[in-house]
Amino acid sequence: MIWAQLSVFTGDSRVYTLDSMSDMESLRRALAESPENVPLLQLYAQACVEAFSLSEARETFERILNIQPHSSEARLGVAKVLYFEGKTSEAAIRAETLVKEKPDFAPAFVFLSRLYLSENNKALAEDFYERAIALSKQVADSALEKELGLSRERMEKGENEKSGDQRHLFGSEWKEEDPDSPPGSEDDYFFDDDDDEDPFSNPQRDFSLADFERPKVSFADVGGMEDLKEEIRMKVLYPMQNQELFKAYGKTVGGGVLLYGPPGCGKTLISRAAAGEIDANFFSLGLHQVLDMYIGNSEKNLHQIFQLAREKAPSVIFFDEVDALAADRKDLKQSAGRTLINQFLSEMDGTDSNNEGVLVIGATNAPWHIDPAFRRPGRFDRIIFVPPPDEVARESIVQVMAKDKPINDLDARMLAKKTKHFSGADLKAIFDQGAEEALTLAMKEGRIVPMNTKALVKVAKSIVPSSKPWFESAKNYAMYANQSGFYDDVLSFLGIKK
Amino acid sequence: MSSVQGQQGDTGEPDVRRAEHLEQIGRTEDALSAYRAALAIDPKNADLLRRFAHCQMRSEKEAEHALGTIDQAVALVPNDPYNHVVRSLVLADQRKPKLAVAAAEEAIALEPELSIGHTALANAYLKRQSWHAAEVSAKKALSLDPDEEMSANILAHALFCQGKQVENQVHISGLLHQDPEDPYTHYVAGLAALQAEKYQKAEEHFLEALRLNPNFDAAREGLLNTFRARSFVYRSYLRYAFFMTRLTSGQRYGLIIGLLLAVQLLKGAFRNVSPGISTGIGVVYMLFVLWTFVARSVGSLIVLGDHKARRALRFMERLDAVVVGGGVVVGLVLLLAGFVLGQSPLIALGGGCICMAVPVVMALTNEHPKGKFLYGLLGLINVIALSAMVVGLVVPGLDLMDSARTAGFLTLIVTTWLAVFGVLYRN
Repeated sequence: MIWAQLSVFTGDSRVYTLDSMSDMESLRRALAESPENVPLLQLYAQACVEAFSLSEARETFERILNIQPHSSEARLGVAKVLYFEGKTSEAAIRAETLVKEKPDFAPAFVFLSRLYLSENNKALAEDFYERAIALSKQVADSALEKELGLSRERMEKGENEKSGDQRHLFGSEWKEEDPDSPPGSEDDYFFDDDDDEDPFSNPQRDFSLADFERPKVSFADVGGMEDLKEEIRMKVLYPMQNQELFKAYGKTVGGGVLLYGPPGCGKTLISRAAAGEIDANFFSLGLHQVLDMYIGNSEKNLHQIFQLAREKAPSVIFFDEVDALAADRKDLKQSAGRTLINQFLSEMDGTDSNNEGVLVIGATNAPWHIDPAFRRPGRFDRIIFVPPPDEVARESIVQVMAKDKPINDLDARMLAKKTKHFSGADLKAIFDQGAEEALTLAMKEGRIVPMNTKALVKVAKSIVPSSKPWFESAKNYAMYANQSGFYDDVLSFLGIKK
Repeated sequence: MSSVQGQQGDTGEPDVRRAEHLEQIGRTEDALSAYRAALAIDPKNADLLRRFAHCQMRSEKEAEHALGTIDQAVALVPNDPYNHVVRSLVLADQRKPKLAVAAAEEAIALEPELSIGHTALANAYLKRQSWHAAEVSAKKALSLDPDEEMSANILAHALFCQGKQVENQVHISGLLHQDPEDPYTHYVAGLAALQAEKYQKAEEHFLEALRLNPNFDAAREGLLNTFRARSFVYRSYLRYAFFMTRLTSGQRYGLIIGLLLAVQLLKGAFRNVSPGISTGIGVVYMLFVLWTFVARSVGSLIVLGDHKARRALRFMERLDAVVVGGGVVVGLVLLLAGFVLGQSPLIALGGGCICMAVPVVMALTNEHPKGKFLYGLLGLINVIALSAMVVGLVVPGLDLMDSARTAGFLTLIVTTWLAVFGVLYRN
């Protein structure tokens, strides 16, 4: 993820699976086994750049160049490291030499564009970027486009003029290439055509139903976790499905449900599955879709979403990482963020509008950061603890992870048994590390070496469940800040309270 | 926090705004990612680097990299006092108080009326255990900005460490009135109450600090101290600890060495007059030394007996309570029984338990990796010596008692001398 963010600068649109320092360690181990492995070296060097270990990154890129003197990626990597070290001229010379020798290597053009933009040479930066896009649309960098003041239409036009291809929609093609990036994603958000002319204008998003995708998952797609599903059925689904019955008892349908639990345990998936079970419009929002750099716009965005949900009721608004939008105001002191929280409270209350049929689901792994005002009746008054997956759920996750991988005699139940408290993300790490080890062996032996249950169990023993630090923190909150019984489920899960 | 971060040169970058917001709400790791994204676009922005360093300092995973980051910011804009302020905070956090003082002084030299510069200096002095200097700097910071919370809390801490209870009480009351939701203020209020032996009050403040910030480890430790203070052994130890805190490190060493010399002189003087008194002085001194080492563990053992209070103990603290606290209690019982019954093997076993407890407590409470290993090794030697004593007693004809006793005693002496000078020990 971090690399994806760094790639905003580097213009490198390839997908790397590195997301932590522990990956660097596993790469180091893999490299110790296979020191001449260029793809591994490349991954390691990228990881070093990501971690700002510039000298190590440069050393690694140079190792690649010793093995493959013409590697464009490594040459570009050296240029990037030089840039990060502040040696802009040397970086530019190296990158320009590279594009002269390899005129079809688009990432180098994007890098040059970034470099010249940072040197305030916008014209050259624009030229390099357009040349990059003409070579490959895959290197498109919407953040850079915005900084350059390029509109999509202009890019399309320019590209079509250069390539002579039939005109096509840049945006839709981009979405096809990146199915994980939902409409209204971060890149989309910061790409604002109307903003080109006047940088001080106050752009605001216009949300519509088309911005939100209806979830295609349901509870049937979530393995195990039966108790949790039942709790959600009782607290969320049945009221939405039996609105008339609830009205007969003078109860309103809607309100808020807060899902909390350790990271990587499926809060988002189960929320989407819950929404998939109801015949309602679904609005899934991340922090980036609401937060706006201009004062007042975040509040407007939030209002607009609620307004849309009210118009399209019955509807479900899902806020991932809700603690960021509903933060405790005492943490913010005089910050402008307080007004956003007040707005959120007011929208949940439906002070000026009717929230009938609007269900708000929030998911968080830091419930302690949520302002206590959100827990009052009518707001997030139904609280659901999402624990790490149970054994049945882990078994089904293991089966999904094992798909299309060379594994001998997979005993999913055994692996599930040995991975108590592991989250879905931890289980993925087992397979990733297992695959790396098998790959190292395969490279040494020159043949496919399949993984097996024993090796995966061994890897599992070396991984500390990521939920552990969460439970350490949660235990402290449950012990010292549990005046309202908010964390009783955590205490029960830990066996402290029966 | 914004004052520590310096003037907000609003870059207008969404990532920066997001990073600041995430940092404010305590999502440090996410904030770091957002700062990284902003830095990827603008890697030579000193303001950003400073904020990134400040955020890194608060992260468990990245605190060690904070110094490198802030050094980059200082290299880019050496005349920005805020860069030196954050550098000072980072250095103090990394237990480099002398360098932290120098960095804060650099900030003050650049802008003498910068309150946060004086706060950083007070913080550095606090870390250097120069309580009076910390008090002076904190007061200076408060004279420049009376709302500066950090310096107000540092002042309370400095007053507490100097034993200025009355002044501290007034100061803390003002702070609590100003912001009753500040966990650090409740923490220092708890410490002050603990010092004044108002244990119930101290417990309330520590619990309030923990309610406001359940991950506040120092407050948890304070709460444990109030629980431990239920025993006379630990109450008297707290008085001793508070007394020692008021002294400078030089005074502390002087007192310890002076006491040792005085004991030796007294023992020598009474040896010919009354050997019993001479031995008694030696025993009392040994008990005093032992008490300074194990009072905390014995206190934890008592806390372990309370089913509610023991929840506050962590695994290592429980281990310490059982192994060290339990070892000492068993050792003392055996010693007493041995003396009463005239059984030298019981006396030897009791002594063995106590000899084992001292290096073990130094290993269990030590955060210094090499120290943990060294004291752990010494503890292991004494565990083996104790086992050898038991084997020697059980197996007829196997005389291991003398060598085991010598090993245990020598290890105890080595441990206490290393510990007095804080060699390879960090807590």
